[in-house]
Amino acid sequence: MTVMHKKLSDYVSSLCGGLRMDSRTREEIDREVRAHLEDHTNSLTRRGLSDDEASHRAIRSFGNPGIIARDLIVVHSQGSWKDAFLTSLPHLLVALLLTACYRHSFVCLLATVLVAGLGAHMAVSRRAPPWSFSWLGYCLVPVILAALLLLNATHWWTLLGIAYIPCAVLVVVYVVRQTASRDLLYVSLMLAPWAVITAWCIATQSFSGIRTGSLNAAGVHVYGRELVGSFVALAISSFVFARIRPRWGKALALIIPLAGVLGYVSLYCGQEMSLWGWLIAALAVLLVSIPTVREFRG
Amino acid sequence: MTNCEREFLKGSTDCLILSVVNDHPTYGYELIKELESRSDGYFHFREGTLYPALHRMEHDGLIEGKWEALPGGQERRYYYITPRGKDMLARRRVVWSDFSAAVRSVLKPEAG
Repeated sequence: MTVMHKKLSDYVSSLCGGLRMDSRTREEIDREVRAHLEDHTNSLTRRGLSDDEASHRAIRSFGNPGIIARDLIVVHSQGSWKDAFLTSLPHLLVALLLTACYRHSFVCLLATVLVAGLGAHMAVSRRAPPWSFSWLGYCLVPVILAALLLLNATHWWTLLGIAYIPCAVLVVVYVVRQTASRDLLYVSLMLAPWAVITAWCIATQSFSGIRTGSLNAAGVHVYGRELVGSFVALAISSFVFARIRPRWGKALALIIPLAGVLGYVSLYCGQEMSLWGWLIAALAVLLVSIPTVREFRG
Repeated sequence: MTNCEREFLKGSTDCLILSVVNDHPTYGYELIKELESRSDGYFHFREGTLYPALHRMEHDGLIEGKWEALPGGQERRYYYITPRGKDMLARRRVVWSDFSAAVRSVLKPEAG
């Protein structure tokens, strides 16, 4: 590689390395910027400049890579109306599922399963588009649920638990790290339902039921409307998250409903929540909010 | 370029890009050269700022980018104006024409 090409390549890498977006868009931007710099450098060398001087000038006139990357991120962070709908869809499906459970509606249940299957197929076939991160959070449900069930396992299930639980933790850590490498905000988007689920599980004292495998739907019947409302709120916030362009707006769109759900659960289910329960729910909301808070700090 | 000129340019970037792309499909580097040459060197863009503008306009459906090969074989991303972009350009031209006529009549050189 010549000095000229190395300089251009380093510059393009520093610009595109900061792009938190899907790999296909990043590759397109990489090609486009590289082509532009090569055109400019070639034009300058034709005018008699040395390769080194030409590449230096081309890079200087292109501008600060950090600022350009930031502007490109802002442009590409706004999803279409369809993206926004698909981002909010898994939360709406959970709301529908809870309605089915609450009202014993087979049609709701069937519609939920069909749409969930279609959404999962689209997410996989389109190389993990931004909207798929809100689906990914729910994909971790069976992984974590199985770990919780195995916590109280007896006999030979204990051995399975010892082998499975570290693997489940590794899977969750891997998924979070992969998502964080794409964009920290997507970590919050992905984990947001977990904060809501944790808060409601503590409020309805469902954790012991999950651990002993004897979960009943009593909590859903008592707080059915509130539970559905929480996931509808999450759906609205995800919709706003996908459509809004400024990153601080995306961060606020996620934090506000989570704080709202925690506040509601504390106020109206307070008598059923112990201090420890409340602290765990608050910790879950805080953990989910950390990536967005880091966004504010810049 | 003064701050005032920079502000004017910022407000007119979309219109200038649409105008060039409307005449013929073009790619980033060629677009910058065209803008410089049509304005006799007055519009000198900080080149990197062009791409966020192009991508935003593509996202808004005003232009469409397609990879095409140059005669030499290298590929460049050509931008084409869309029907929505044409509508926007027509409206901006009317607004600009009215606005510049009004500003000229207010800022007319002092007599004598």
